[in-house]
Amino acid sequence: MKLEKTGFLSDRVGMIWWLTALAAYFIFPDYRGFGASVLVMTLFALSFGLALGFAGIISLGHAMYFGVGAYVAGRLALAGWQEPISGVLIAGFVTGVMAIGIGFVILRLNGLPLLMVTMALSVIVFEAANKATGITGGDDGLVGISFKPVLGIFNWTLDGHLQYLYALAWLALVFFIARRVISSPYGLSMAGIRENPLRMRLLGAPVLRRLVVMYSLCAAFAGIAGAILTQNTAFVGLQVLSLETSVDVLVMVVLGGTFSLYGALLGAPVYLIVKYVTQQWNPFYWMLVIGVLLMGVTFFFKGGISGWLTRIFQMDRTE
Amino acid sequence: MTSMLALELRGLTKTFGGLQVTHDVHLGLASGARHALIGPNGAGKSTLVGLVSGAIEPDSGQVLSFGHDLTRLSLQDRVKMGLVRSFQITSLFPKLTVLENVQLAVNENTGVADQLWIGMKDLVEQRERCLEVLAELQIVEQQDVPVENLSYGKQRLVEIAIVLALKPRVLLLDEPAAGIPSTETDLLLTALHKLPSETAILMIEHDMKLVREFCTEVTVLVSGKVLASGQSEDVMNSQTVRDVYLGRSGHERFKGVQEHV
Repeated sequence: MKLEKTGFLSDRVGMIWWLTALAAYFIFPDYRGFGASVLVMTLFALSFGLALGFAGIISLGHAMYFGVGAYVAGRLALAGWQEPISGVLIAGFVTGVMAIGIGFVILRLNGLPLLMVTMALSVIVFEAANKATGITGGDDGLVGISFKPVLGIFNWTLDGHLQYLYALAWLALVFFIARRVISSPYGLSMAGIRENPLRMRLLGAPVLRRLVVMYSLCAAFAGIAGAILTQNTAFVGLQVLSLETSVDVLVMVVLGGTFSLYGALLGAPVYLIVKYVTQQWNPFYWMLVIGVLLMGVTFFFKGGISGWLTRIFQMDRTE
Repeated sequence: MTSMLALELRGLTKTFGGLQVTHDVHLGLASGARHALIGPNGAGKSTLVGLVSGAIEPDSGQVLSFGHDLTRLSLQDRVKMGLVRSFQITSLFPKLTVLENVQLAVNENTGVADQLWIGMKDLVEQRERCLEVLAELQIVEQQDVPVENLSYGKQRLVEIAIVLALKPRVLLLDEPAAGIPSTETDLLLTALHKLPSETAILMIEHDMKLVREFCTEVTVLVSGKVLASGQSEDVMNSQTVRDVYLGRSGHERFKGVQEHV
């Protein structure tokens, strides 16, 4: 797929990622809970990477959809709708529709103004959620949530083994959809809009509408990620809506590379694992390590980790 | 009363600040017209193309095509009506390949650009159409090269390829030959000659050779006003036009323009 030129990883290399993710389940049984949270964040990063890398929609408010998805799944369960898969789909639907409304207003902007507006929106939603304790539980979050077994058979466990596989399955599904979309005519038109929106209009393309559709799709994916987080942890905290979560996901995607879907798939685990390991080592200085890592990648690895891997891979082939 | 001209401009006027760049321009192109728009630098030719394509909003006047008033339509809706323009300064999708650049145009034109669930690979018909256009301009071999890696001359040809791929009914060509080496100008001419004969073409061009070879009608624009308009022969031979634009040396030409305006 030529769109991913600067960050293309072949299917073979992609396979390695999926096999590693599956292998990690068996190799690190004690870390399945952590692994599941990594996969959820990877899914969230994927939804953001799709908007940023393929549509050029830069945002500091993506946590808004992640958080709303999380709360929707939580509220549904508290209201008695405890079937997990439909819960995830409903959450994705709600955030997707929400993004259509928001998108038609904000996607008239781009670049820095868009960044500012999304950040402001995100802060407003966070504060609203903080005040609306009746719905969100405020600072205490939503507790006492429980879900029915997945597909009616697989029970939720404390060691996180179902959580891990559940998140991995959703990630694979969303990844599959995302890949189809970016290799479709619609995906190509997204690349066109990213490169030269005015020219796209002069080809007859309804640019705003196209962007809104993509934004809504990405928001739906973010909502799905949020809902899975709720189901995996049986808890929703305000943190899911915070600006920090939006910044985290931006850092993950930049770290992994914005020109390939694998950017998010590499960036999120690297970020979270480095964070986890360094926090064990020193709970105060982990940000320093992340900062140095990010600077290193930005300076030396053009196109993030995925861009760097692509170049290694291409070198192997040409030599 | 509606006219069935392919393109009709009625009293187009545009002022930027205190500067009137387009002044009450009337122009009509029938289907199949090959019309050149010439004039000295700063005559307002590109502004006129901007007004027609919808990039610039006129202060007054109308743009019509086949009886439809396009004046209030957006850029993309005008393209849907078959009104297509090329750019004087190449405006492409630099990181995408030559083929992808043309595919974008073909996808829009054939109405598949909104499809989320079919692969680009499966669009056989569209792909063939792209390759056809690329073949006409002899840039098939470069189909997988990102356009930013092409020479400027080749980029100009991609620009033309995109425009041709949109199957225009009315085509505005803003200096299509600018920056193209003379060897490739012939390619360009050949490709333009292959356009359906009913396509109306308005071409802005400084290359008088190209104008003579391709256009049968000429309009001369000076300081935003139509100085002369009509059959190429008549316009080119008119004393006024010779004086103002074609014949005299630079200094005199400038003086001539001043007097006429």
